[in-house]
Amino acid sequence: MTEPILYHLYNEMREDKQWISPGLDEYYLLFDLFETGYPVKTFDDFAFIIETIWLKSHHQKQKLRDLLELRRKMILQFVASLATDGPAQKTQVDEQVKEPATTTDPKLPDVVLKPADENNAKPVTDKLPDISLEEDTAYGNTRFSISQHNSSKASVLKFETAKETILPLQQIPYLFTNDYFPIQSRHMQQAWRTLKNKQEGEDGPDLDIDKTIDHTAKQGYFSSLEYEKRILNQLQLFIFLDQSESMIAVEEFGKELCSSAFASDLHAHAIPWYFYQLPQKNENGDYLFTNEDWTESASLRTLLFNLNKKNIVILIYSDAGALRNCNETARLKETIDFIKVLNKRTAYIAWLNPAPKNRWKGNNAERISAELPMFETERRDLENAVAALKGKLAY
Amino acid sequence: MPAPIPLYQGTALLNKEASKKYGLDTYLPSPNLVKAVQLAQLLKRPLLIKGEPGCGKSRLAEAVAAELFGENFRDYYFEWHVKSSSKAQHGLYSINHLQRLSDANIKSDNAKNLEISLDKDANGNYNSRGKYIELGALGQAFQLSNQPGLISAPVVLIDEVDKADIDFPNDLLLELDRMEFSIPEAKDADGNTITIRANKEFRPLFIITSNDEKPLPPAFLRRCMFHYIDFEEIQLPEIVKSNYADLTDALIKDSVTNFKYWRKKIAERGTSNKNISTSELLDWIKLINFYTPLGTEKINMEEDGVPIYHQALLKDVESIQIFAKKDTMDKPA
Repeated sequence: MTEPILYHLYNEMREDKQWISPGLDEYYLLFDLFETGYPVKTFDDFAFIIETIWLKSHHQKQKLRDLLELRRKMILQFVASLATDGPAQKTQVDEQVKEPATTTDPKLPDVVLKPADENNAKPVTDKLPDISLEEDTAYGNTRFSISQHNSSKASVLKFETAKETILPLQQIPYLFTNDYFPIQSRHMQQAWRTLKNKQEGEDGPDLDIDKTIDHTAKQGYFSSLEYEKRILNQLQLFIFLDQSESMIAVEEFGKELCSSAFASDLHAHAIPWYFYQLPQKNENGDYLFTNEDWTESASLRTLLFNLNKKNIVILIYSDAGALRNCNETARLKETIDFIKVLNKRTAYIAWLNPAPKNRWKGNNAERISAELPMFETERRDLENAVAALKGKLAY
Repeated sequence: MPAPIPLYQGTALLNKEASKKYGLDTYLPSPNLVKAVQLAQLLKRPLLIKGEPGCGKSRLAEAVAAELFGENFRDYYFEWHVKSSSKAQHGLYSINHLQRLSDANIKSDNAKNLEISLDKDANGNYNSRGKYIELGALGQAFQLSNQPGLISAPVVLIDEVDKADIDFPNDLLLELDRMEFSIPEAKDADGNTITIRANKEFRPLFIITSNDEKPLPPAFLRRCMFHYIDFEEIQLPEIVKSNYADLTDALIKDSVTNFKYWRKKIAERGTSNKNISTSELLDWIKLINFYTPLGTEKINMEEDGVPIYHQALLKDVESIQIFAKKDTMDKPA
C-alpha cells in the first residue's frame, strides 16, 4: 500500500507555523478533485494542484516545492496509481487518510540529498512504469506524460539546479524609497490598521448622509440629521525603542513605526518610549522609559496604569544584541526578567529586530527570540508582528 | 449523470481575427493559468489571481467568459471594479434612496407606493432591477445562474480586491460560501423578505484579482484557489505576434529580448519600485509597428543607451536614470 502522501503533506503544513495552513475543507477539496477525474499524471501536475488549492502566497511556492521534492517517490507512486486505476476508480484516493491526525506520522521515507549535477539534474527515483497518456481527455487538451525514469538505488534525490529568475518587485526586501526603509510608510499604516478592537462610541461630528437619507426616506419626511458614530479602538499600543549605540543606524525606522501608527488613525496614543540597552530598573522594581531627549520619563507602571490587561499591546524595537553579537549572560538575564514583568501586564508582546535572522544565531537575540515572538523588519514581518499582537499565531 | 462541465482551454482569443468577433483583444494564457481556471471550475471555488501589474490578471475573466459563452458572453459576464470606498454590499444590491425620497415629496392625490420591491420574471426568478433597487454584479450573477438552459456558470470579475478596506473581503465570506443573500429592505409580492440564491449546479465562477497592496485575511484566502502569474511563464513573443502579425519574427524576437534585458536591468538596480510589464511592452510594440516600415528585420532598439520610444515603457524618473547612466551590464547577444 502506498503511504498516504496527502496526509503527510497536510500535517507537515499544518505543523509549520510559517504556512497559512490548509484547513480540513481544503484537504477534502483534493479528494473532490481526484473524484472528478481531472488528469493528474506527473509530479508537476500534483505539485501544481497542491499549490493552487493549498497555497495562498507565491512567497511559499519554493518552500512547498522543496517539501514535495522530499516526497517525490511517494508522490510518483500515488500519481502512477491514479493513472493506472483510471480516474473513475477511487482505489488510491480511498487509501488516503480521510481524517488527518494532528500529528505527523514518524515513518517518513529516508532521503539522502546529493548536490545537483549540472548534466543530470533530473531526480532519480525508484523505477516506475512507463506512463504515456497522450490522448485528449474530457477535461482539456493539456497533455502530460512521464517517461521512463532512470532507476538507481532507492531514495537518492538530486535537486534540479535552481533556475535564475528575476525576483518580482514585491520580493525585493528593501525598497529604495525616499526614506530607505525596508517597509513603506503606507504599508506600515496598513499593518497598523489591522491592529484594532473597535467599539462604537457616541455620535461624532461627521454627518452620515446615507443614514440621513435612509432615515428620511423611511419616515417620508425630513426630521433630523444623522451623525456617524465614533468608532474607537480599544487597544492601547506601546512602542518601546532601543537607543543603544548599535541601533543608531536603524533608529529612524523605529520612529517611523510610531509615526505610521499615529497616522493610521487607530493609535493616536502611540508615542515612542525609549530605553538604553535595557529599561532602567528603579528601587521599586519598576522599569523607567524616557522620551527621545531624556527630558521626561515614565515608569512602566505609570504607562500601563488603569488600562485593561486585554487591551495592552507592546512592540519592542531593538537588536537584542544581534548587531554587536552580544553574548553577555547578565544582560540576557535582565532582559528575560523584563519580559517576564511585561508578561504579567499583557500577553500581547512582539519584538522587531533590525538585524537579519541569520545574525541572531549564537547571541542573546537567539535566546530572547525563544521567549517571545521576534521578527525581522520586512513588510511580512511587521504583519506577522501585528498578528502576534492580536494574539494570533504568526505565519 | 450530469453533462461534463465545459472547461476553459484558453484558445478563444489566440489571434486578432478570432478575438475580433468578441470585441476583445487577444489573450494568451499560460498552460498553468488555464489549469488553475479549470481547477476553480471543477471545484466551484473562487480563483484568486495575483501577479505584477499589467500581466493580464483582470483580462482573464472576460477571456474565460468569451470562450465559455461565445459572442454573447457579455450577458453572462459581470465586472465589479473595487475602489477604496467600496463596500461589500455594493456588489450585492443598491437602493436608490434619493429617488424614493423625491417620490415621497411629490404632491399627488394618488396613494403612494414607496415600497422597495423586486418583481419576478416568467421563470420565477427575480429581475435584476426593481422599484428603487438594483442588484449588483454578484446579485445579478446569482440570479442568472438560475436561468434555464444555461451551459456554464456565469463569470464574475472582482477586480483589485485589495483596494478596499481590509474588512471588505471578510464581509463577502458568507455570500461566497453560501452563494445567497437576503435583502431586508425589500419585499416580494407576498410581503416576504427577498433572498437571492444562486443555482448550486452553476455557482458563478469568481475570478478575483489582487495587486498585493494589502494582505488579505486568512479566512478569505481559505475559500479561494490561488494562482500567481509568474512573469517567466508569460509567452511574450507569442503575445506580440498575436497582436501584431505584420511584424517580422526577427523584429519581434529582438524587441522581446531587449525588453527582457531592460526588465532585468531595472530589477537588478532596484532604484525604481516599478518594473516594465506586458501591457507596456504591447504599447511600445505598437509604436514600433507604427513607425517601422513593413518587413523591417532590424532596428536600433536604443538611442544614447535609452530604449527608443521610452515614453511607453519607462514611467518614472528612476527608471530613466538607469538607462541615462553609463551601462556596465552585458548586453543581450
